Amino acid sequence: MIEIKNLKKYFPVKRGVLQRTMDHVKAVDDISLSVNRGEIFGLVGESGCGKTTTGRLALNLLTPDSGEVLFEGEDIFSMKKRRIMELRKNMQIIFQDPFSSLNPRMKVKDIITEGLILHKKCSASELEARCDQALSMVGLPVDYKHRYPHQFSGGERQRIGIARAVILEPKFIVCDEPVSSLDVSIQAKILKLLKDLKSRLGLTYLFITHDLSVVANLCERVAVMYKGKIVETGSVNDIYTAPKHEYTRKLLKSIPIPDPRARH
Amino acid sequence: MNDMFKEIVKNKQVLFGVVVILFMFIVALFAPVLATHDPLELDLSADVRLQPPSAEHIFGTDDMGRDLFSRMVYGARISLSVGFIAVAIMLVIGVTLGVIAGYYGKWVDTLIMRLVEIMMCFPRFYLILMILAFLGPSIIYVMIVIGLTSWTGLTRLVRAEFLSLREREYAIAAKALGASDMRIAFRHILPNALAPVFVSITLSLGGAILLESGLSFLGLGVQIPTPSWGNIISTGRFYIDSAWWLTVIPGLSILLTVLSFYLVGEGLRVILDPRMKR
Ligand SMILES: Nc1ncnc2c1ncn2[C@@H]1O[C@H](COP(=O)(O)OP(=O)(O)O)[C@@H](O)[C@H]1O
Ligand SMILES: [Mg+2]
Repeated sequence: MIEIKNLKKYFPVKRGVLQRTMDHVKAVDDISLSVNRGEIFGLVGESGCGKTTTGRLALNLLTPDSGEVLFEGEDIFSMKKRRIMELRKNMQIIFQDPFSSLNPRMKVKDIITEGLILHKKCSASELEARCDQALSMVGLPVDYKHRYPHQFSGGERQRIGIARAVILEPKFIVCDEPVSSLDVSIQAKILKLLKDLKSRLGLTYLFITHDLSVVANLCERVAVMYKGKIVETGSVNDIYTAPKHEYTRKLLKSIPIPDPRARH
Repeated sequence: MNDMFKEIVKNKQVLFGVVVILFMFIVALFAPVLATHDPLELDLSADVRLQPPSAEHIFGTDDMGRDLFSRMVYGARISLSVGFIAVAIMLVIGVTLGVIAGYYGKWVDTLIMRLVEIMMCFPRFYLILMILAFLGPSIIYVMIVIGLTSWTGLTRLVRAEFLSLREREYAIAAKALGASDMRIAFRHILPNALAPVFVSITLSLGGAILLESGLSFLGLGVQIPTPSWGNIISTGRFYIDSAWWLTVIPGLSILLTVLSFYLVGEGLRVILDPRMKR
């Protein structure tokens, strides 16, 4: 479904009075991976290793310095404007921080239905109905739609963000640490919701996280990222039982997770 | 909005400022009704000139025998309209350039910021004096020149807000949904950048009114016989020993009005800021 080939993104580091470019942060440094239709592909790594940058490149929210991203075989960086609009309908993003991911000045209904307004000519009543449908799909009461984001908890806000992402019925979603900033008790519920939505809507996820226990629970395949590079890719089982790279072993040791084989 | 109303009522300084400003507004609006005399009518007879406040002339009369109260009331119109028109000009230029610089970044940003820096190299007051000395004094020029020279701070402010807000995840979410740059700028970012803009507007209104008074005082602003608070003081200063009301009354009015705008601006800063950080 999505194929990332030799992607590179360097951010300039500017210093001094003249703001000259002194150096570059190699946020994403020659990354390749591919996500198959219907799978949850995990992208794991410590904070600052370039996961968010990779996710945003995959959605054409950032422009790479080199490399390409193929969505259903088509390079997303050489598309015309019209085609990019089509693309936006098919790929979406769910964010880490449920507080900065919702516009504080917009009502829940306007937040959720923005995608419809941009892409479909919906009547007011249709919009209303689709909004209600999306809210109940993510397990929120329909009357939340008239309120503002600051009236909700982190978990509820995350559900609103999920509703916004799924209302256009996309094929592919980048989940950028969607549970990292939530309470542990809420994390499990949101993960379950994401799993349910995946099977109900036939979604494909690129699931970004720094938490290996989440990956063990959710993903079929994983890529381990370290300082802008992918150091290891494989099935969850392989990575757990026979980590090849030094960094993966360190990562595994640092997190108390049950052996995935013991789960069954 | 309801919360904000409550906060304003609770905050005594802001409440004071708002009441004074509203009062000045009403005075300016109803000047023809409130004025007891024709503000331009001369009477040079000795028993009418430079008379202290009395029942007939509650603020006294000036050196031409004109009723000071009526001149003050009409002067409020001038002062407030100069303030508002100058600030409106500042707002349009400042916000537009700030939005463009902050949202597009790159060379557009560099260009606009260079322009801002060049503008800021000139001491503003002397720049205005120079332009007015060249164009000749006129109230229209005063409004335009104040507006054209005061937008730099606002541009920098809006730009800084945009630079930080465009990285917010809701702005990125809008992009992911397919929103255009214009839509992101005006629907998602600008509404969240308004609090500091409001603060800046109120502070600038005070500043513009003060500036107009200063220019009129120097004879480069509103021209006699049209009354403005600044030119009333300007004539009044020759009679400061014998006719205190000609300087004290307009002086206090300027002080009170400008102070009120500052109080409201500072109060809004406090009231609006914590809300934005949430
Ligand atoms: N817009 C940007 N400008 C400059 N540096 C950036 C920018 N975005 C990310 N970076 C840098 O790139 C690196 C990777 O960041 P990110 O992709 O957010 O990592 P992660 O999501 O894994 O925590 C970090 O060092 C970060 O500071
Ligand atoms: Mg990240």
